[in-house]
Amino acid sequence: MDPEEADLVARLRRGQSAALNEVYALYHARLWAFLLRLSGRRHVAEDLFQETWVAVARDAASLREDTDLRAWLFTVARNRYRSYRRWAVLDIARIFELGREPKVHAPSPEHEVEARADAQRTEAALASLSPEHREVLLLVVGEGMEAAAVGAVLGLSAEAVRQRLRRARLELSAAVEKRRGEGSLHRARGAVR
Amino acid sequence: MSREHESRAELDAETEAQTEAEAQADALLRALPSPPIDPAFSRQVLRVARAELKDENESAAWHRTGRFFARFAIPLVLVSCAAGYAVHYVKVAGRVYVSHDPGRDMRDASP
Repeated sequence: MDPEEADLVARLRRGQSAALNEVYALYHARLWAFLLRLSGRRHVAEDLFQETWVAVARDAASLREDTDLRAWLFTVARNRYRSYRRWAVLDIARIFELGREPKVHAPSPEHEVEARADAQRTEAALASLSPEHREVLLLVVGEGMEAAAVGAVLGLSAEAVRQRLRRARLELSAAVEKRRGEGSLHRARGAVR
Repeated sequence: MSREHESRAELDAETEAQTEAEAQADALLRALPSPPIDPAFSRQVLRVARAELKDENESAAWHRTGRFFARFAIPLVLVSCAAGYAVHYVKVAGRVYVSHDPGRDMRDASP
């Protein structure tokens, strides 16, 4: 374990506010990206993000000395999201939220640059995947975490993570290709008109 | 080319296509820009988290006191009381036994 991280965990366990600031500075953008892409909705991601950090502050004292901070933080965030999904079943307003494909920004004329379009297609394709596939992609590819660490976050074996990752990659690739095809079809129709 | 060779070539091509698709998925994901977070919201979240940490620190002393009573003081008092009562009843029983006159029952029974 990285000695700097061990020191950070030790200070967090003692309840030092400065340690929380450091952890926040290190991980807040990554947790935000993870939750936003996992939930697909900004207002849901905002709620989950705040709940995650409150939980981090509340449970910091009970951390073990050898805690892998990054894996722990993503576990907390993922548990918040799972809890949100569970409760959504009991909340009629949330059922409609879950049923909808997560929102992606509609392309506007000034955003027709190819790179931007690619990013939008990828975001849309990612949003169309199941949450299980989304989370494994975000953790392994987005975060660069090892299969074993992701297994600890998701409660799976490293082999199960690898298999799920493989399926998720293929599904994402197919979804992006499908959207590319649809995009070129739209353009062709526009040219004909 | 034999049928076996053909099927192996097809299998190889399929595996290669899958590997390519996986690499493409990784490249696309890595190319995604990180979504911006509203700085005001971010500051507010940090403030809330720090307040929570402060509350936790303050309540930690109360928790320790609570744990002391729940795990040590109250069980100790209960065990002491039980032991005290046990000793007391043993002493009472002893006194009753000593003060008991075995011949008295015989005398009472005789006409």
